[in-house]
Amino acid sequence: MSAHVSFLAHRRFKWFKLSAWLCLIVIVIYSAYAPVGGRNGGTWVGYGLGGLGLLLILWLSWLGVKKRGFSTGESGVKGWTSAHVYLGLSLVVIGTLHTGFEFGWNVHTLAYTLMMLVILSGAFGVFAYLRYPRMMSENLAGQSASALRKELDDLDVRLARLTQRLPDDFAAAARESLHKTKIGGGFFSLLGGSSRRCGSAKGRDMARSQADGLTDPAEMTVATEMVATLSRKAEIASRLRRDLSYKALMDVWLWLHVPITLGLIASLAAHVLIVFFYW
Amino acid sequence: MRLSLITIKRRPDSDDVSRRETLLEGSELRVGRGADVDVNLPDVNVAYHHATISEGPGGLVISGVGGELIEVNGKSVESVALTPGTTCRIGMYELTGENAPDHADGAIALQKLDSPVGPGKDAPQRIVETLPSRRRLSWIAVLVVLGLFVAWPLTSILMRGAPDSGAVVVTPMTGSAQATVEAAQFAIENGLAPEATVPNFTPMEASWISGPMSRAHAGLAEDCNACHLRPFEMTTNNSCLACHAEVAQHAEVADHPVMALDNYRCAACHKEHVGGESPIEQASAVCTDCHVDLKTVSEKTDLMNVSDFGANHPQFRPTLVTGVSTDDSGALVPTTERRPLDQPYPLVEKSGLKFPHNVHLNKEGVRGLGRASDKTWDMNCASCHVAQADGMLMRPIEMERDCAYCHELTFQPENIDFVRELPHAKASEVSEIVHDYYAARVLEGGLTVPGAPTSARRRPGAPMTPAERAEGLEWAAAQAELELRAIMDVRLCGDCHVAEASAEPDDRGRTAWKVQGALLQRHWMPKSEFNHEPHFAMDCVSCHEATTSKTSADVLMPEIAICRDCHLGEETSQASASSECLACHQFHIEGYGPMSPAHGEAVKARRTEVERSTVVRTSQ
Repeated sequence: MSAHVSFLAHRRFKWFKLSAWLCLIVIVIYSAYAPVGGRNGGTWVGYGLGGLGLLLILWLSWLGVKKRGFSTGESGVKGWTSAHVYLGLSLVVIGTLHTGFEFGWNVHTLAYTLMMLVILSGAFGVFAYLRYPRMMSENLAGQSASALRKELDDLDVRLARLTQRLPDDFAAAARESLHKTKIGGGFFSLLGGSSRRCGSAKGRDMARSQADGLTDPAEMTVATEMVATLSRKAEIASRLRRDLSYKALMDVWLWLHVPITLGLIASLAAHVLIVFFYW
Repeated sequence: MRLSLITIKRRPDSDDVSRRETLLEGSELRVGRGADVDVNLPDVNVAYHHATISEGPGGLVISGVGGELIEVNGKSVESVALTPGTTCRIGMYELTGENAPDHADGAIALQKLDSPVGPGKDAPQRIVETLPSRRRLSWIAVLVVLGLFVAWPLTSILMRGAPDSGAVVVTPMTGSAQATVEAAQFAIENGLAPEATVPNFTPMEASWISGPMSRAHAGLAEDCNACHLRPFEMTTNNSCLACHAEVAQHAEVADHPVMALDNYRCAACHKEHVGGESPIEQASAVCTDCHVDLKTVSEKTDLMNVSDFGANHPQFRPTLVTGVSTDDSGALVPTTERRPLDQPYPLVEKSGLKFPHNVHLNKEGVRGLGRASDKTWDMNCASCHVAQADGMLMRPIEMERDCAYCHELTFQPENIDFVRELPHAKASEVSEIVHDYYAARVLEGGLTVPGAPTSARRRPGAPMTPAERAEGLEWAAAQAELELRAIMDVRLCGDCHVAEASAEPDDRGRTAWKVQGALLQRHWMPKSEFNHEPHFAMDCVSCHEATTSKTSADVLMPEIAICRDCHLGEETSQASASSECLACHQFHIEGYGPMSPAHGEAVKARRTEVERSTVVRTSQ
């Protein structure tokens, strides 16, 4: 098992088992208790589930802050992460049963929705950490991103040198590549990682069509090398973009997870206040 | 021309500058990207042969070739004289004229500028660079939620007042429209500020509602403060009683003090914000909680324990009329008794009515009496028994409507073409009418009845002697008494009632008759409410076995077992008709007085006041 998944299996799935037991107990209590007026958040079991959920949410939020600053070694971080993930998932059961399946357009259901969004984004985070690191190393084929960037720079110099022995039309192809091979950029291009408008790919096609019209054998040799250079550059750029896209996916969920968690805590405060304000 | 080309290089991160001189010779010197030109500028933005340097009248001149341009001070020009100090740019290269050294005709310094930052080199490489910080987003989320859902509604709520805790406030509710009208009227008449009838609500308060209101309270959905009076206080009974001031007790509190329910909240049983028709709790657990062992709650109770309609509910104990008497004012007074239906002997009712159901339900039709004796009627249960509009009790049987079309009270002495309607339930009037008739006939004369005295048989209008008159009237009185006995005992009254003749004749020598009035039980099981309407698909006789009943003494109420054919109780797993307590019983039972005597009094006072003000207004 790789290091990336081991936090899920931390100490033989200790936190998984704990959360599963918790869910089971909660489901049994919920099913056994049939109060006057039906099951909802306003019964004693409802208050109990709500209180448990609230404490879990606050503790897990604190865990989230805590584990980033942890210095108690790898196993400590893994333990906290494992607890965070499994107890977080158990909130799906606890929170849903607390509602008694009563939903509406109100601040109470808002809190529930935010909680589900936090859990969903967290689940995506787990998914991302399980899946993307391997895809990233496969994408870069064992090389580092900085090595590839260095190679891109070398290819640029080579392109400039090659154009010295080729007509101006090839210089245009080189310019296309030099000026329009964009890696990174805005939110969506980072997230999408698309290479559809890559300047190097376009330059390669331009150079290739120019090369067909050449007659001088010396120039033809140089042109072939230029096409190969542009082709390599396009490939590296595409891999780097995909690399950034994986990194973006691994980053972006936390930008939902954390602010929505804070929104959730605020809406929980409102929920508790309102429930007891209008008791 | 000899040109001194000085290539300047700067070392990165250092002020060191190296100058390397190359001497070029020719009348024209080619400048461009090409590998084979004189001044090689390896930059893709430079044309293969971009420009030419030649010697002009005032020094070196550089001119673009084939339309290529040269940049001087930000402007593109076709050619420029590179006098010492003049600088031009081609691509990433800067060419500056210098003073010619001794061994050359001119000098140009060539310097490669820092390569412009490559495309996207400064573009964000991590998605977080394109987003606001998590801290800022978190603050926004917190402030939006607290502002929209707490601060906004809370400020408007806190600005409203609430009545004092414990104040008895009542709004008589007799139909919501009337209540509004009454409230407004009351306010106007008494010079008070009219009560708000518009929603007492700001938009975001809607977001506080934890669940849908029941339909019964839908009108309160936009007025939280109708029930929630003060912050952090559970809804009080006073809020409920403001409208439901007259809601009745569950039992006689004097006998069962526990039933005052002083420490209970209405909301203990009536849950709002869970939708539904009304906040009345249907689950039997609310009732069986106590009724499973009622003695432990109230020692003096004579009610039997119940836990489930199907499994453990006492046999029905209908209230029977066991006798009917007439009080001094002439009103009928029943004696009643509660008896269970599962006695070893049949229950007997004494309603004062003679009525065989089987005769009236004859499948071949029921033959009429008297003038209607040539007709037959197809009678069924509904010929007499019709449920009230609410479907609950049967409307009372009325002789005039339900019986008289066949049981006509007509007095028609034999051989005489004379019909006289007799009044129902007025025995002495009947007696007067019959006596008057015979007396009048004798005084008139011309009677042909066998056995009549000669004075009565005389020619009509012929005078009588006092002796003849006395003889005639004596006969008339005797004849009337005979006729009355037949009417009371056998024919008319006697058809349905028991009549009793007085032992001694009265001072006029007439027998006084007392006909036993009938008092039919209408509500056999007054502690329950049975609705006939939902049972419309059933035959009456499937519960009330009337077809074989020969006497009105039979009690035709069904035993509990008949109900249990469909109402199996709540503990069964089979499909069952509704069996919860409230299907038949009520918690608040009218007749036990209001739950809150203070509110009961207040609503009465208020109503009187409203009535008085209405009267005043009408008279004005």
